[in-house]
Amino acid sequence: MSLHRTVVTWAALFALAIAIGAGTAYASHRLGCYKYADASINWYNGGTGTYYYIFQEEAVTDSDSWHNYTDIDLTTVTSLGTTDHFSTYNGWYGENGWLGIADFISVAGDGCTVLYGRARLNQSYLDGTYSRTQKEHIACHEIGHLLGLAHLNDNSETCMANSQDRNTPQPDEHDQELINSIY
Amino acid sequence: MSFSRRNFWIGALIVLAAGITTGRLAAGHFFPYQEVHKTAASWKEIYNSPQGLSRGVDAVVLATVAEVVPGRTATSENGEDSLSFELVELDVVRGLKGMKAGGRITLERAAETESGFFLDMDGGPFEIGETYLLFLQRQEDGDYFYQVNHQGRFRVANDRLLAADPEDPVAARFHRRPVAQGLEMVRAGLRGRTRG
Repeated sequence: MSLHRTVVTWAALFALAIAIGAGTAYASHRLGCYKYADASINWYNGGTGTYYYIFQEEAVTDSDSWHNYTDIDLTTVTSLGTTDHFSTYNGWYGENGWLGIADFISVAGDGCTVLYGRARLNQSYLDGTYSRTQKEHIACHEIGHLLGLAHLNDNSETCMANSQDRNTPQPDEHDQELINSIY
Repeated sequence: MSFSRRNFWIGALIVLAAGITTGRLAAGHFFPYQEVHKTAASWKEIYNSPQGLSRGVDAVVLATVAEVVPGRTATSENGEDSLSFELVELDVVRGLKGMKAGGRITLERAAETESGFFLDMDGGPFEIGETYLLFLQRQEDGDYFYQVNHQGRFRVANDRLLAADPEDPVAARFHRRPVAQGLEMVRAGLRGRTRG
């Protein structure tokens, strides 16, 4: 092959590779590129009443909790933190369409490393007609978001699915593999 | 100077690997302290089709944002965390369901955490003067509406609908369509026919 043709081809490949590299620095099939610095994460349970126990079960005590089912190592702490941390709450947030929300902030070097996050369950809906299993499903779902998972728009048997029945209060093998690959 | 086919491909692989590495490093170098605040929600209602969405809500409107004012603050049960809400005043341009053109509606949405971060699970803050196609529910305990979920907001730009969440399969059916076509999809859904 001629030098000219080789150089042109390699230059095009290099440009393409840079674009791919820059893209993969931020994008993937999970919830953006977001993750905690490592698998050891502090967790503050700000739940009250039944919700305290629901958060406890979904986060650390159930055999299929995020702590027990994946490589995530949650350490329960007794005060709020600002790094390597997430908190969970319940409250009467009113009728605004959501059963639970999760939000987090990342400011680390690559823009992807989560510093802290919060999950909130909305009692205005959940204390109505929702069963305990459905509340557990929502708690599992919001914690999954905080750990770096997105919704699944199908009927997978996981709390991360966007299905309406919400009777699957645990992650599935795909979630487990994804979390373990992230961390 | 010429290259054998083998050397060409070896060189190509090296160039590819170097390029990907350079791209990843450059992305981290040029945007080193990119502050990101991300929100996700479990919505009470999720729809599987434009027809279901149109039929399931109390109101479907094309409306322009007139004003956004602070609303209530809700505190967690343990008192340690709070969320601020805002009220979005909208002038109805076209009422497809539940409202007529010329009216004004108030939409309530969770807007900000106590740390001052804007919530964006519904598409984020509304922009005053912008027009949106909205799928709304009416609050049972108040005078306000709320956006049904992440599927229920489309900003009008250059006479096209831009979904708040274009990755959602139902919102994607409306995304980037001309406004007239999107409105016709809603009407068809309300009549019992789907299109597009």
